[in-house]
Amino acid sequence: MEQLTYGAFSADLHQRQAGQRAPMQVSIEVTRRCPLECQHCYNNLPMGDQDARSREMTTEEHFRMLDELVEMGCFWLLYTGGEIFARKDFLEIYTYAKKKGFLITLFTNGTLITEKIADYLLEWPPFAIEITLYGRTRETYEALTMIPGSYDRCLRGIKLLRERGLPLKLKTVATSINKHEVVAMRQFAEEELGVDFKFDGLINPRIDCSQSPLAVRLTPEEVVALDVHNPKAPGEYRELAQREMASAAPAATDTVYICGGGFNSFAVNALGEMGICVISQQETFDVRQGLNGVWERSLLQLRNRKRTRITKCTRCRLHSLCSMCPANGEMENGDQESPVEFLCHVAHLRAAAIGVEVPEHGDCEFCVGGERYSEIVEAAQRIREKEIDVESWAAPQEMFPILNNAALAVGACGGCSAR
Amino acid sequence: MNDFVPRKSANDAASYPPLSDQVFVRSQSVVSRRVAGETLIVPIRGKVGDLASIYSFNETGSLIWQALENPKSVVELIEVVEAEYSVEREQAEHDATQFLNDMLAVGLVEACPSVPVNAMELSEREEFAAGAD
Repeated sequence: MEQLTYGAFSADLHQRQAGQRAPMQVSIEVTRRCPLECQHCYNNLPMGDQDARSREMTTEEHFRMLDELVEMGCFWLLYTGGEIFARKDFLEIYTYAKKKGFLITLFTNGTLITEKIADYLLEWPPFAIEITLYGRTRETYEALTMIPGSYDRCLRGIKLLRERGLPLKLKTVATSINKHEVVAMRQFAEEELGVDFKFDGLINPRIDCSQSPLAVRLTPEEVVALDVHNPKAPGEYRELAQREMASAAPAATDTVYICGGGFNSFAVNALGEMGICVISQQETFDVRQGLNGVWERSLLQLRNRKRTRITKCTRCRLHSLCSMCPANGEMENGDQESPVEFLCHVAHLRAAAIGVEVPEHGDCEFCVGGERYSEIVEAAQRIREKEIDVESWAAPQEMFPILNNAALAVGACGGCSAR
Repeated sequence: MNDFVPRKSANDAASYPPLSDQVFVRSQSVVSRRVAGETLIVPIRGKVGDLASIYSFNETGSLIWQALENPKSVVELIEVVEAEYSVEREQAEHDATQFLNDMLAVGLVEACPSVPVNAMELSEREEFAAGAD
């Protein structure tokens, strides 16, 4: 009998499965309803949205899907929302999945976690449970979530899980509203609680095409300043970039998708539709009549879609520092292949700030000779010399940038059917 | 065949009956999955030895695990191994007891409570396993 840690097992399995198309990891969005109304969220709907509720997959449909996922060889499951505990039957679905032997990660905001739920999770422990913390003070947290009392409920959820020794991790979405508390959130997680912490400064438009989340998006300089301030991130990014640069330049792939989506993973949204990932929602396929057929036909076809043109991303060697992907292109530009300027800006600035040279990769305004190259050089210097100092950031003057800003609520991508 | 006791604690050890007098079954706190051609045992509930690990079996291990779907004595497990691989009795004893020992240590199998060998007919054992589900 061989005893393996999950990490060792995962590395071994991925190596053995390399090159074989098989859905090892599946993300399941159980609902888009959520008790919070976060300004930056890409998919949340009100708790009382009866239309949304009526269109969600039923408990039995979830059970059937899990049966099929076992047959398809899926091993890692991610349950996400909306807020997963907004569904009263979530623990029923979760327990069914546990009994099938999936390794399950839960994404939650923690505000609906009660003693009863925490005790239940102790009895049936998840592989990981990640709570998103939106601020380190009540004022900031609730300025982003828009719900009075939510900060205390989140802290209660964290406490209940922590007391039980559950595999908790904290994370935050850094926005213009809470950026000044990212450092304090990290200290709270790592030093006070002794749990892992990560932040993401990249915000997407909503899946219904609204650009409203972008009103609270950080500037590229702020995103990279937070990276550089994080004791671990620069080293990790540098190592990833060096590895990418050292490898042979990949032959320009002729497909739109180069990620694991549709190859070793997929997502099922709250409506019971399979897509490449949770944020790519322009092309999804009903799974109620069975997942395997969709995986083998519609999703395969989508995954193999050929790109239609060469862009500056095609030969770029900064993939390890960049979040550009077809889903981001789709959401921000209405076109999977169209580079997202914000992400390109962040990637080039990140490289400059940590001392990674960017090989020439076509007509890029952020590269040597490009019309915005000097911006990159100057901002990287300001970050390195701490002229942009995350520890001196204060609370923003304007806590609610979306309110009274009608222009931001208008869908801009033009490529999807708003739902 | 070596007698053996589940590894609970040194103080408890003396109170357990010998291995040969017990009947064993898969723990209800783990499930097995076939992933990429491999049998994996995944802890799913608290109280299993190490929730941060999963377990994989070789061919003999998979055979014994399969047999433990219903309660089995050590002798029955040895017979399963002997029959499948045509090995010497001594080798089958060694393999089966060592494997059982390892599984008991991490809680993958359990001794059926107070059920001495031969006191439970096959049909009763199947009932026991079904009822526990």
